[in-house]
Amino acid sequence: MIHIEILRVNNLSKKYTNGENIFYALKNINFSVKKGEFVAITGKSGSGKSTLLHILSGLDSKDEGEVIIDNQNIFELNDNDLTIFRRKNIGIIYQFYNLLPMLDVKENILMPTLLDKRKVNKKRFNELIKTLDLDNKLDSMPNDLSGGQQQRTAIGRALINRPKILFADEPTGNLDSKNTKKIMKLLEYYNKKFKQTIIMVTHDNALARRCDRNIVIKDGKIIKDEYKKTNKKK
Amino acid sequence: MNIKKLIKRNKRRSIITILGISIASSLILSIGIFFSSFREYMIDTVKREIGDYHVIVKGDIKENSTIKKIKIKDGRNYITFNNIGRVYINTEKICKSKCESITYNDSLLSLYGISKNENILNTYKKIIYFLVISFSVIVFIIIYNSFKVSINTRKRDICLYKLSGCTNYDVYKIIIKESLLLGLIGMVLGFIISLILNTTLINILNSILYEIFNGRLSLKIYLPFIIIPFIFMTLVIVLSSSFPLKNIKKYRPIELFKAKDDIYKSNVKRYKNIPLWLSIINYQRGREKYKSLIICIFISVLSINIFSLTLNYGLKCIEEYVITPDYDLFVNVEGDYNLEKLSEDLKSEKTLIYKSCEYTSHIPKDYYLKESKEKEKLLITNLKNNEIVNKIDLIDDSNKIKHLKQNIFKNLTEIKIDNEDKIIDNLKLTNKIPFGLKGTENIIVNLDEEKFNGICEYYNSNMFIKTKYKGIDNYLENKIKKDELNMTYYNSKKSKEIMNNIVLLVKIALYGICLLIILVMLTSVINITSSSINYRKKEFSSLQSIGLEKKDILSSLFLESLIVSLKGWGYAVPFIFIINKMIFTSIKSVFDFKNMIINLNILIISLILSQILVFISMAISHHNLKEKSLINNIKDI
Ligand SMILES: Nc1ncnc2c1ncn2[C@@H]1O[C@H](COP(=O)(O)OP(=O)(O)O)[C@@H](O)[C@H]1O
Ligand SMILES: [Mg+2]
Repeated sequence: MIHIEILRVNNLSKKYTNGENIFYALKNINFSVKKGEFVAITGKSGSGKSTLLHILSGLDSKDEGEVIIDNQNIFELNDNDLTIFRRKNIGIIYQFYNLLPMLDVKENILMPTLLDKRKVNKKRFNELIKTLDLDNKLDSMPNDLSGGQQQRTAIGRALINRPKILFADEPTGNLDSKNTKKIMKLLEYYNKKFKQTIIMVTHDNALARRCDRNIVIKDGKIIKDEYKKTNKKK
Repeated sequence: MNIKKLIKRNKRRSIITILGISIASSLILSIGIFFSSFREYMIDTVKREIGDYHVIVKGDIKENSTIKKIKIKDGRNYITFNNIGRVYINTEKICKSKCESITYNDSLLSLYGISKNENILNTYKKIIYFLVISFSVIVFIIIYNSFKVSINTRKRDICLYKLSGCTNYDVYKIIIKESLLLGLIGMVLGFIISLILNTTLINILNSILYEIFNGRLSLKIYLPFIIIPFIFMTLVIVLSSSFPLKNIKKYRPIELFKAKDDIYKSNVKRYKNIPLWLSIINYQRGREKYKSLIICIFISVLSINIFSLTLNYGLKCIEEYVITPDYDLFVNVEGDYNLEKLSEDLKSEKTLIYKSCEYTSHIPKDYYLKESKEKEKLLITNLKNNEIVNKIDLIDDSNKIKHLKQNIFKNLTEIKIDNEDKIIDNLKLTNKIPFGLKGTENIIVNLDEEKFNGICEYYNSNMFIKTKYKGIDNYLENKIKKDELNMTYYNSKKSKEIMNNIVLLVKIALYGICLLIILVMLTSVINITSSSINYRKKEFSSLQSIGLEKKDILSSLFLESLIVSLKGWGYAVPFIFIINKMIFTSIKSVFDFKNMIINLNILIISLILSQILVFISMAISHHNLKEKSLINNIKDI
């Protein structure tokens, strides 16, 4: 397998000022991710995991450093180009799903494709909803779904455009163990089958252990970055 | 919960609400203050022209302490009471049914609203009632709306209060108190605004209409005209803020986490055009919220159109049925004074003058094309031509007779005047009428100086003048005084100016009122749209995070505002038409109007204007949402 670098983070810092106090939520973050990797980011609550993920996906601003996704420095793009870049290359899953309440499941999943003015790939869509076990929920509204179903819809929405990279912020943080297992299996399935690059934030060490690589953050700094024993070292 | 804190937290909404209330109350208070000033002026006028008394009583009266002043003239008592409100009772008391006659000063009494007789002033009162009632309705609806929206969007706050242990009654108290505080600030501001507006208006009136006012208008405040609007506004505010609260018991804290209208299942087909699709979905599920917006648009489109229609009908009446003379000055002298000197004096001042005199003429029947009288009044004028005005044109060329336009005389060569056998030859027929003679029934014969002098020995009748000479009034006044002339003159230029000023003033007042209505509406629109946009903050950011471009968000907002304003406008159009029809039928018999006035421009402008206002306030609210980063909007549940 050729190791294409899909994400590169250089010297990334993010600070919050509260009056006189300057607080670094992220400080000098450096790492890179290759295509097909399933990376877990762990750390205590408040350590900066979400902040990092939001910056990587272009939802939040940074103070210093660069984020390069597929050879594109995303902070060199203007707001509009970043939006277009995001819909072509990035998928995002949140802890609280963030589905669009006025659209049904099918519309929610298809939205990124419609926004990108692509033709809907029926085969891919059918396959996706089958895997996500949503075939008989397509007409439901998000508010009528269980948490697990909502999160599976969100995964469908994130994956429908086959993004170069998928970011997930505690995707199972709000779910029971049965649903957690189901979601984790889905992510692993896409990682294996389609070489989908995934970066997942979690505070569940058991989940992190199932990933290829585990980056640990503490007080905004990377304190550990290790590959699973079976994989070769960096 | 501290109210000051509450208001501070919702700074923008509070400021906009205060602005709305202050503009609305200034609208009502301005009418009140204006009419109190006008009333004061009328009282002065009545006292001067009719007399400063309450009642005239003839016969024996029994004096008592209720009487302030008695003046006896020609055996009648002119009585002024201490308390004008008890004028009927007190008169009964002093008369003891022994008075021979009682005549009340109805003009004065009606200005205090106590006259028992019909009076011209009652018409004036009716106009005020009409204005006040229609504005009150507009203001009520708009204020009610804006409070309703503000409370509906605060369901979340209300649920939070309840979560933290407030009873329904506590919540009720907090919200009413807050509304009353905002209302009070708004009303005081509105009072100040209306004072400023009225001072300006009265100054303008005094300076441009000084000719028709004896004395000057001055700012006067007649308390009932101020207190009633204040009470009315307070009632509106209490009602508007308490009525939407009737559902407060139904609010369960859980609604915090689940908004009802989110579960709306749209049956809109997926359109290729995503902004259009989104705008239709958003409109459909926001229907309840947009109701208020649609009512606002409806009211303002309606009032703007009706005001401008009323204005147009009024102007048309003036235009068609008030004859606007085409001369500047008309002078008439009785006795055999020779106007030669006067015309000589004026000639040096770039003045166009002609003289005229009247004769009875004898025109042989042969000269007529159709049958007509043989004897006609003949107006002989001097404007250096030898022509006679073809008579049919004198009936004026209004539409009715346009198609009849034809010569009534054959080529005229001679006219006999009375029995004196004066024959004027070489007369031409013409359609031109000398200025000042439009609408004259007479046949006009226009002669050169020599012939005119031969017929009219004295210029002892009329003189029409067109002049640019500004001091002509003074000149004539002095002339009359110096030569002790029995001369009257009428300065039509000045009356025209006054007429134009009145028209201008009415226009300014009506469009000013429209502007105020638009402003009140705007505050409501801003409140409604900003709360509706703010409510959807998370959705916008979520959409953007999965790839909706900003321009698409804006075009979806544009389409949404278009749907809403089209709807409000669409409801208004039939009402405008019906009211137009009502105005038309009520005046067409009086003024003989042929066609209804349909002002398409205003109709279209009002649609575009309301759409633009709604869209801009949506776009601005959306722009204001923009936190430093998308994630701040997404995180904020
Ligand atoms: N908008 C913000 N303003 C100020 N501080 C923030 C903001 N967002 C996050 N933080 C702080 O940054 C730190 C990292 O937060 P976050 O990335 O959400 O942690 P977590 O690892 O639990 O996901 C926390 O201490 C948090 O308080
Ligand atoms: Mg987090």
